[in-house]
Amino acid sequence: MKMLNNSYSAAVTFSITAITAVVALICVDQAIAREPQFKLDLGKAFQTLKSAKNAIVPLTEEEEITLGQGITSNLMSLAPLYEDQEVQAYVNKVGRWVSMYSERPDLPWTFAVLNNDDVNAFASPGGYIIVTKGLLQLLKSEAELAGVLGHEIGHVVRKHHLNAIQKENAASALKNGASLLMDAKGKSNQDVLKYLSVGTAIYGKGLDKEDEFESDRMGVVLAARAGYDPYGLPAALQQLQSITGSSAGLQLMLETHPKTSDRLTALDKVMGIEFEKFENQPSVDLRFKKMMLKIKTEK
Amino acid sequence: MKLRKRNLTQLWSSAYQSAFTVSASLMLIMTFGLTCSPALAQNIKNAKKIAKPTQVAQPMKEAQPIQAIQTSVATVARSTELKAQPFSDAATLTVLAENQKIDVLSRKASWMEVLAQETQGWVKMLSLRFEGKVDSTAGNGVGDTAKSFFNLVKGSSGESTTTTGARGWTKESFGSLSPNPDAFEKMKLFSVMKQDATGFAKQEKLNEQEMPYLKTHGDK
Repeated sequence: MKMLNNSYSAAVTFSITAITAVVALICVDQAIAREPQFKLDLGKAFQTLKSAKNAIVPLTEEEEITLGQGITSNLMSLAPLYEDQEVQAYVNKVGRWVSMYSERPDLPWTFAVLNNDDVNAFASPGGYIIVTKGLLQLLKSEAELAGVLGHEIGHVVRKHHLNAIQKENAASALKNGASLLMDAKGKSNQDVLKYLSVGTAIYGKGLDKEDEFESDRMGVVLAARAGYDPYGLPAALQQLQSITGSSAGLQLMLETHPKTSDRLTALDKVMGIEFEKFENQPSVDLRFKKMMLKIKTEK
Repeated sequence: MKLRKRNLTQLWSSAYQSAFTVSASLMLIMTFGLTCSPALAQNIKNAKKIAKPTQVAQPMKEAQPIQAIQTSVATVARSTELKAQPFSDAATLTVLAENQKIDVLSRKASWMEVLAQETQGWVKMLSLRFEGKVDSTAGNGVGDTAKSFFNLVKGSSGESTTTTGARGWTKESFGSLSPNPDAFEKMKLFSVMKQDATGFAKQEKLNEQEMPYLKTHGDK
């Protein structure tokens, strides 16, 4: 009798699990139908569903890349791509070279210039980085570009946006008084898709200040490792300071970052004598200026 | 030999560029000074002095060109030594006080070439801050002119006419973005291979260096 009871309860548990799984499957299916450009490994999503114990489940690298692609596709609606392929190739070569000196050199690092006068840059999970034409026009050398891209690469390497998105998502789920079952669903990485709207909104809110300071520290080191004058990033920040208050198109960037003077003070504290050995590394300004001339002369 | 020739052409074009920039800046400074403020006469004098070192320095050096940056007024953020040369063991000309205003002429790695009350020398760039806010007090004139010059350059590019009316992106710009898969597919094609990036880096003698990440107070 007891055995019968046991097998009965096992059957119930099994069927509940099965129902949950089917519900989850349907959700994933619908999500995929809505966003046809994403492929999801269902088996993996199930595995995560089964093993989920914490509120925030780390994504696999594949899922991180998928999420980053979705976010980048959304960010692509902000402005058209800058039409000059040579400029795009140039920024990709600088960025790819710098990314090779990070701990994640084999991500699908890809860079794009958007045709917009705002001064800004966005790093999406998985290694997709967007800079604006307005940002390029603020810079004066390739070393400055390398420093700025190094900062963005730092965000990707340390998963700053990914962590912020997952935190935000868990917080909003909690606020909505999610039931246990819903919570279990929330733990599955089918949320790669659910993260998308939260994920894109993060770029309007900005990251924790500490993440920005960390990326600044990484940006100067990555530029130095790649053989550039490591003072490109602080130089870019000083140029930013000197146009603040007189130029439109800085509002969002300034709102989503710590005060520029605080960023410079933080770099001043850590860029000590160990940087003196890089004092003669090239800033590569001729190649950069030649490329920028194209931006100024083209319409 | 071929390489030399190319470098020479590059140098010439950069010399033209800097000559143009300098003369354009001078014209702007003069117009601004004449119409707006007699206090700027001093700054015009400074700007003339400035024109010399940048013009000479550019064609002279090849591997390490001194970067001409727009002349602007900076504030000394922490008391710092004004050096005769851009090295830590160069002779100290004077010590600049906190909050002192100086004119910045150019940058070379971590050093800024500056003009501090008629004395020209070099200071560590991170000891300087640049005032962004439009300040009507005397002494900020060159900075303002540089800023309006920047805006002029931006405004004259054909592209900005379409966005002049727009206020730029805001938080709300990100609330309702829809996917743009076509643009994303195009972006993916821009990606370059490691070996292409390496070849590109070697052209400018960018060599791999060892350097650990910087730790700071409170780091894990």
